Amino acid sequence: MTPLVRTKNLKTYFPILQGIIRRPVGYVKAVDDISLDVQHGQWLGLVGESGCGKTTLGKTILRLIEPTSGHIYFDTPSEIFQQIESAENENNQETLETLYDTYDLATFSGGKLKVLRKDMQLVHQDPFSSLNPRMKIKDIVSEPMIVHNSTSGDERLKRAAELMNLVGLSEKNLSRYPHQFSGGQRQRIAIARALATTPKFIVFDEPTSALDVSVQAQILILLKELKQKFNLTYLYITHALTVAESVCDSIAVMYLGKIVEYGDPSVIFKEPMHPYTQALILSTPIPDPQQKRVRLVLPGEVPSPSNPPPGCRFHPRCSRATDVCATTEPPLKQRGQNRKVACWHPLV
Amino acid sequence: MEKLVQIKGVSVNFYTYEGVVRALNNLSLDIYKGETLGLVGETGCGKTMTAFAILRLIMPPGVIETGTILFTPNGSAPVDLLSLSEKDIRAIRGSKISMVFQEPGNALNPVYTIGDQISEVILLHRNNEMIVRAIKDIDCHLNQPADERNKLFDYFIRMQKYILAAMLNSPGALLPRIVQKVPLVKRLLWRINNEAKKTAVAMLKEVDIPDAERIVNYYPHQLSGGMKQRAVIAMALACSPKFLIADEPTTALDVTIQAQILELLQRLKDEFNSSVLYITHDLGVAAAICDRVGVMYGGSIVELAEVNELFVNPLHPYTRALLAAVPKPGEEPMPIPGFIPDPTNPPAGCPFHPRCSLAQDICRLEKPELHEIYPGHFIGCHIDAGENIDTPSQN
Amino acid sequence: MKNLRFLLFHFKKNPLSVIGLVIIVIFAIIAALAPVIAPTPEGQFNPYMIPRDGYGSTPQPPSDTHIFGTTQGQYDIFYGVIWGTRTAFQVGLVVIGAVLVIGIILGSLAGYFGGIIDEIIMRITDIFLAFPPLILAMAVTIALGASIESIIIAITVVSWPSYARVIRGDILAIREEDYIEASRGVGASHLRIILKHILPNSIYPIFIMASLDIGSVVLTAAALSFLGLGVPEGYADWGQMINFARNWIVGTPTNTFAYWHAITIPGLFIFFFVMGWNLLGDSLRDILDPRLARR
Repeated sequence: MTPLVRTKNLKTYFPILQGIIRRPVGYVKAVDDISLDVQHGQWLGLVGESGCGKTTLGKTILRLIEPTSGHIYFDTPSEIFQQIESAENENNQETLETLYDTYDLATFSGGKLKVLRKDMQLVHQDPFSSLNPRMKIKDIVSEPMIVHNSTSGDERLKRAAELMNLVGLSEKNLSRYPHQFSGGQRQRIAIARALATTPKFIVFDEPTSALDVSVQAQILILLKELKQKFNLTYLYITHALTVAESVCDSIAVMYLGKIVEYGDPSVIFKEPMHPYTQALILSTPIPDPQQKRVRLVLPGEVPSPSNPPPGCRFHPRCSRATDVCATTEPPLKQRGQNRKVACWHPLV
Repeated sequence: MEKLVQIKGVSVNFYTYEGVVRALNNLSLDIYKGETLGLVGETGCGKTMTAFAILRLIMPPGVIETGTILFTPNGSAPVDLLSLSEKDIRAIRGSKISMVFQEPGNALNPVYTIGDQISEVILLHRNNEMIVRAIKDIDCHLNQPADERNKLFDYFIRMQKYILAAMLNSPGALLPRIVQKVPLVKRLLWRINNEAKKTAVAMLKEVDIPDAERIVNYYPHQLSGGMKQRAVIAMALACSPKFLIADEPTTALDVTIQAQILELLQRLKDEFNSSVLYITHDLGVAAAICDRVGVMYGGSIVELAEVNELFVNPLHPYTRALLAAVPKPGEEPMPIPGFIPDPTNPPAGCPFHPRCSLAQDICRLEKPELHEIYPGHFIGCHIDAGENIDTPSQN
Repeated sequence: MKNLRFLLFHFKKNPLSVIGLVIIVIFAIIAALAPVIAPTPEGQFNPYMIPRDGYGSTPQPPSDTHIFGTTQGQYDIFYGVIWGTRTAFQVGLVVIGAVLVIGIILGSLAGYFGGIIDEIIMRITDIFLAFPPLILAMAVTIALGASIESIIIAITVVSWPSYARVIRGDILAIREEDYIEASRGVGASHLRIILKHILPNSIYPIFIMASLDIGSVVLTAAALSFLGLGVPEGYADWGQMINFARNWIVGTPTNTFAYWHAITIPGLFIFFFVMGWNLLGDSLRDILDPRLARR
């Protein structure tokens, strides 16, 4: 099966500048060598703590942040992947370059990127800063259409009203300003804007973390409906494992710029393989006092991504760590069907 | 069980351009000695306002309209926090009642070290204790064998001791007042600051900060979020308060760090034998650390019960809806229809009725009172006799 | 409608701003009706030149023919202050307009694009800010020759850098907002982002600064005229009228206040004009400050 989105060895480093001439003295390795596939129609959850690089990965795929190296493919036919693979094997630089130029998002710029932006959209975390406070809702929602010159003014307005209805808001709201709405309603408006150009792929950057639980549930149900209706593919970034578990088809757990575990949510939740995933699950409090978990308190804190520990990045906080963990980095290995884990001593 | 704080009929209004916001609506709540009481609810339900009302931190345009808040620390007669003078309430804030805020970054002043900030609280409320310790320290020095000491230095130290003793015995006298005010002479009191710093280090150790002697000289920006929150907790506990208000102390933190902080808070509560008012929007956190839980909606408490009772046998429709909305493994979250009501124009009658599936005519007309259904289980709902109530739980 | 009510709410809370508004409106009426209030004598070609009644140097006290009296050189004070209102508005509004345009364009280029563009523009502003403003303005006026235009150019040259700086600072903060990224995410061009998203959210502080600055621009212009560098002699300008009265501040040995009108009347016009703008600017700050807006 060909994926809708594929990243290959994607790296995003932010230089740490110092001194008068702003010389880089080091790099924050926010996304470090990530190869990830998002299948057509998948709802992939990307889970991790703050600073693990999940947002950076999402925004790099959308090219809102420049990747340092690696490749991003979007809606690329499988023959092309075969061609690229064979060219890589033969080390045929010329063919490779032309292939990258036409298919690798990481090389795109200007008009080529703009065309692509129609198909992939982002919904931000904070609905209070993602809507321009000085613009009316109709201008916010129809901006993507204006930018892509898709329709005339009247039709844009009609489409904007249609979009508002889609996200469960009345079209009467179109001539109001963002500050007149609550957080949940604002997030709906942001979703309407993301849908304006009928994209195929939407990245959600913690869309419910600023919302109350009751509203969060509303938004999650809405996302599910929209996904079915328009056959969308989601990359859902969140720090809440429970949210990912209840709505996603697959989950990727990130730690310090790396994916440490990948799999189906029900399986991951029941039998996590990576000790970090287990710690995340056990640290998340659940609203059931009788089912008090054996609370596992993970010692220490997440190390700085500018200077990650050698070997397995989790080993200083891991109870199962051995010598090999401190020296050699574990690869993300296939373990069973649709399951990957990067650990020398998996729990299962 | 003895009551530590009794909140009776407190109403808080905010007079804004948009109209009057009723932040707290005739709220009554008791907090017992040694318990952790959780307040849960969604944005704008008044949980933080409750904390601010207890400490009288409500600023204009907010006004505490009615009610009393009786505070009964060990053995003494109850005092009404709302009728105390500004000076008296300031003496209580930070010493007998203290607060931990949501954003540890905002609660610490970026231009002072962690140690300075903890010392400040200690010097403000435990000054005399620090003087006694400083005098003891001097005595200890003077008791050393005579030949190991410098005679001139001795004289100097005795003078220090004299000033300190004067400060302790007659703080209003001329000498201590001069010494405390005059810039260079103030330096003579370095021993007090030293003692405060030592206490600060001890507090940091208490909250499990590794390498406390070094961290005490750090500035807030040099610490991670979890460490900052620990420092804030150390500051709040510096005067062994009888009552600690924690306003979403882990909301800004990651789950693994949250687990550490929750465990710390639980241990410290037992150690200091204080009561905790724990404010959170996360039902999971409330279930994990609270003894009793109150659910707030629209500025009043709608349900209050012992933690097991509340989560196993929720009675108020709002509590049930809230529990159903929490994402759980293998279950789709159930949204609550509608939105949180506009605080300037709340619905008449029960504030929850526009979103409630069981609402009847009476709900639209009359605001239900909080009343006891089972021992220790209170709800504020009109429909408690009929189909709403399942069999009572077994505990 | 709602905006109007909000405005009234603020004006009610702050009566001083109403005073400011009233002062400026009165000045605007005076400027607009100048030919009616103080008609230009027949046969005079340029209405901005003050008519004079002889060539004697001693100022004459108010009389029927000269309501506010005359100043040194027998220039009619009433005519001078009325037409001087027009000059003040011209200088103030044109300078502020020009400064806003230059400041906004350069400031947004520097703030939005950053990097080398930012570096170049900011170093240029540094150069301009390194000179004492009044000295620089004097130098420019002298170089361009005495006219109202050269005063306008001179003050514009000295005041644009601070505007460019303020705009740049505001844009640096707005640039990091999520809605800017959202707009980039749908493929909007740089120009669209600057015009539609960044400027509407960063321009209000500049408007406040501008309204507070109109007063000080007029003061600077008056200072240049007072030094004899600004307008040609006899031009209706408050600064110059004070310059005329300079020698007559202290009256005769027997009557200290003999020539009070020569300095006081133009002085009061400047005073009220500047105060009016300051009060108005203060209230604009209250109204336009997004932190205060409709909480």
